[in-house]
Amino acid sequence: MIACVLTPFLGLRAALGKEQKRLREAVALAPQHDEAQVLGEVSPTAHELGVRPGMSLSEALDVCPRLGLVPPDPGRAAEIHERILRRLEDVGAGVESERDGEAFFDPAGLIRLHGSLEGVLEAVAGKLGPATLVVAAPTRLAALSLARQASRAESPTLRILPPEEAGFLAGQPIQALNDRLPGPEAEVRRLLTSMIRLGLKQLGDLAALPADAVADRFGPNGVLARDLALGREGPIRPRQPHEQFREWLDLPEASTGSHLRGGLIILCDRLAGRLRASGTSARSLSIEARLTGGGSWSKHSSPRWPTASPTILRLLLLPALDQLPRPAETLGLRVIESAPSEADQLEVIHRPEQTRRKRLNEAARQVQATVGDRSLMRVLEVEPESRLPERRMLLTPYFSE
Amino acid sequence: MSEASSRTLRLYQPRAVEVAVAAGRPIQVDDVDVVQIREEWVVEDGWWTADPIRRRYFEVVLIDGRDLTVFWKLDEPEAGSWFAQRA
Repeated sequence: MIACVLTPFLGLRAALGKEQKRLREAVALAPQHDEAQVLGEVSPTAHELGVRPGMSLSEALDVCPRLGLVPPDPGRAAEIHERILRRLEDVGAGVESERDGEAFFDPAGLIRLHGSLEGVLEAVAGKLGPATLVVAAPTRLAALSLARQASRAESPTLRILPPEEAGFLAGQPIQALNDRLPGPEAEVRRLLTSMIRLGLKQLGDLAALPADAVADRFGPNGVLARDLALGREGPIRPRQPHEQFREWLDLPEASTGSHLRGGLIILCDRLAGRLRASGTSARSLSIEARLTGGGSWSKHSSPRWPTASPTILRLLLLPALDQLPRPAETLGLRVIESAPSEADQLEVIHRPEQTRRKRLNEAARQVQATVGDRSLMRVLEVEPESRLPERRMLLTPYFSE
Repeated sequence: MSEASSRTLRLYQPRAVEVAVAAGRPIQVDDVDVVQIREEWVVEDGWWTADPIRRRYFEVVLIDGRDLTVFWKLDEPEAGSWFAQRA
């Protein structure tokens, strides 16, 4: 069995902040400016009025003229989701999660502790509170479909789908595969639309087709969709619990341009310093900003190989700042996935400049270890062209490169 | 969240100085006579914010040979609001 923990409307709830009551109105998540101009999550009221996630703005406003658009706050949603995952890990669950709001774990390892599957689900639900739903089913897709059904019910309760109810998955609509297949969202949507046009309304219809016919007509993603419809999935791949690396900077005033770049350089230096100090490197990280006038923005990036180098972090992250939609109040970096620090490589080619820099860094590290972090400072040009001299340079702690 | 932002310092922060003025121009800085005003300019910034900055700068040469940049805030014309700053 697979347990699914679903946080319904996480994106909307995070974006609404203190105005949770608006969830009862017809509201939807507005698109981010640098992404496709389609709606994100929609509230139940908006759903009843015909608005659907993925609808274009013009179509949605045509269907429901009083639809309220809420600027997304992906940073806050990720923060809440991370808190949920950590609580699950505190209970002892090995959690797999690829999207905010959804988490899966194998409850088998916890049954002895809590007596039964129901006991495990109750313990988890008790730990997470009423905003989340906990269900169990033989596969991830069945568990997620069951949880989504439960979230639409008047009084959602714990639900378990016994393995003998194999027909449950077959009765689910093809759209249940919407965010389950790899590849660009638009492509997956196109694939599912073509399946529906050919008369495949439910997962059972797809499962009944021969594999070679599906492969011939729909390609590799079609075969994968058929496997999911048949309940064929790989085992849970739990994430490795890791120390959380986050660095934030409160910007003195709504910042853009070179000021913002200066802030990001400081953050890269700090994060690299912390990663090195703990013998870790970043495999994947996100740059996040809280925007003036509400909402937040975030962008995921992954270096070609795990790194703790401030130079590589800067090269990787600085271009992302150009996509910031509005001036920011705070800027932050968060490591999503970490890896062990890279091992020292033997030197094949002699590079005197690198050797000198390495020695200098080692000297700086030793000075800092002896006298403290603040013993070495670095002058950082943030707005060199500013007419106000106090804005041109910052004195920041020195982190070796 | 780390302790973060408190660890950075701004350089070239203005410091308050005593300036004697005649006809709107500095004639003494901290009781040292001004012998020459080399340059004079106005900086206006952040006029689109709630806290705009308007300053009149003077680059002066003092009798003891020092070259100094001082300014006063155009929005606070009363005495005592002069500052020296490396520019």
